[in-house]
Amino acid sequence: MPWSGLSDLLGSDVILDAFLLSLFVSFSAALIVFVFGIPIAWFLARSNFSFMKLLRAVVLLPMVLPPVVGGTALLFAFGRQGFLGKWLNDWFGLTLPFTTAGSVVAAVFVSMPFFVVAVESAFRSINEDLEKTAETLGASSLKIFLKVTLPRIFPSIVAGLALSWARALGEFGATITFAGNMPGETQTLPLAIFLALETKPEAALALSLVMIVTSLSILIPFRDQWLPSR
Amino acid sequence: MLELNGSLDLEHFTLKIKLEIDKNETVSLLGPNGSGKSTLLRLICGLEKLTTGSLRINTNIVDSENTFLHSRFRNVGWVPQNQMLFDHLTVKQNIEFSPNSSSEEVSELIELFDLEHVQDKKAGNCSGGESQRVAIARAIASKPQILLLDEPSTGLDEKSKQIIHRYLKTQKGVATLLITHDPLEAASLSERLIILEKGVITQSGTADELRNSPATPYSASLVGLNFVPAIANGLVAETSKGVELILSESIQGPVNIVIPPKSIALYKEKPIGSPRNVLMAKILEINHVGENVRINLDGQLDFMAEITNNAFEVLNLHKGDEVWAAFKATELIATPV
Repeated sequence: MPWSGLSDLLGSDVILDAFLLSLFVSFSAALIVFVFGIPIAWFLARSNFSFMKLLRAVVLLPMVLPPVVGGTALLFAFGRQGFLGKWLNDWFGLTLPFTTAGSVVAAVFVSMPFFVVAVESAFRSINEDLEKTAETLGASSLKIFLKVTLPRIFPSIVAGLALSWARALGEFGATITFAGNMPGETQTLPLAIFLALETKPEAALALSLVMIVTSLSILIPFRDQWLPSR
Repeated sequence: MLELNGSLDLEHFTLKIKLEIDKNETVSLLGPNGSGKSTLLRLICGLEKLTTGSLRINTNIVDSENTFLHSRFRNVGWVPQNQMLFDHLTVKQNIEFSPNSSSEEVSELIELFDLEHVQDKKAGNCSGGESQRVAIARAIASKPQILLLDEPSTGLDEKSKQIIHRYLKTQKGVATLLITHDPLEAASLSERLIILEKGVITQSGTADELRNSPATPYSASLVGLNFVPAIANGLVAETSKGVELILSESIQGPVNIVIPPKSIALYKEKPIGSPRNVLMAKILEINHVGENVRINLDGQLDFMAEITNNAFEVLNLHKGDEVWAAFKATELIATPV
């Protein structure tokens, strides 16, 4: 085990680039998941829409699909000739596949369900009479949401974010399918590890170490949020 | 102030209510569990919608076939049975939650409900009695026209109960509807008692009226009386189980018969002599209440007898014993239905 070269390896540009890109992609994905995930979770928890079961299944689908299938689906949707990609390209000149933005989209796609599941169950666990009592006191819906509902589900939001961030950080299949493996642009840590394994196995080990440390340093503080400690 | 005449279909029965409450009036709502009391409160504060009929608060119709005013705009203070405090906020923040609250009134209420020492405590850490006081203060701070209290003093410590009772006795200008299981509390806090059974008001009146002529077995049990519906034919009334009771006055048709437990005498052997009602029964339960002993009997009629401790000792009664229960015709109260 060539531990002696570890510090050199960790300092190399390729690894640093992959590390920074991974952080950027995973945190961007977490932000997007947070912004869109809360309304989706709220809708799933509170609406009586008749196709709710189907909708919930669709939202959870990325959790059970092999990521490569998700990447393929994204490629068909957002590729240059895809029905959404064509539209994005024509109207906004925006191309997702094989760009950093594409990596973020892939990460959002696979990590969203983790957040939605956590937050939806938190919404469900609130006794609706609590919000109704606030209504009878004359409070506006916004005030009730911000002052009564949100503080109650806050721990689940944090836990859900940590989980989905971790999932985004580890994302591999959908990213390599949809965004490719370009150093500095779409080559996140897992992709760099995959590549390094073919050429420089010790670099793969070093990168794996970086991933483990990064993940633990984020997950440990939030561990109690989803696994209540005794 | 409040005028309700309408119905709401529930799972097992229909809540069918005609009720008026004046400004300044406190009305107590009593009834067995599952009779629709809490649902009635939810209906008034706008968490349920009437199936038929209408609800008027002040001069506005707030619920009818084609109107429904959201609970936010009804100005009704609702204190649900489990308080529903905002646990993550402090006591003070809970009380000032309503946009209608004013800071002077909030401080007044904190003082009135003796919450100064806990005002900065998280509501989630309050005791049961504190929580109930916070919940009531919070509802009052929203300046309601109608106050709805769902069992406000059930299971509370004596001090909290007193504080709440003192407030309810002195408050002015708020129509109050109070659910309780305690007829004494109802009598001390309200002019009018309403009995709700299976969604229907079976009796409405003062505590005295309830005591003197309970309309149903439930009303009678509330005031500690035995109640037997029967069909009278002259001086004899026959119950649904075929038991014949001797009356002191001749009546025809359906009657409600009330038998005060203290008028029932118990014997180990069948008593002979004067024209009395004599029934055989088995002792189900024995409860000591101060100077007296209440004995629940099961036999041709289910009823309760109350005898003195002395008599109880002389008779040497035990649970499961068979006894003869006797009472004079003049002690029955038979009211034609």
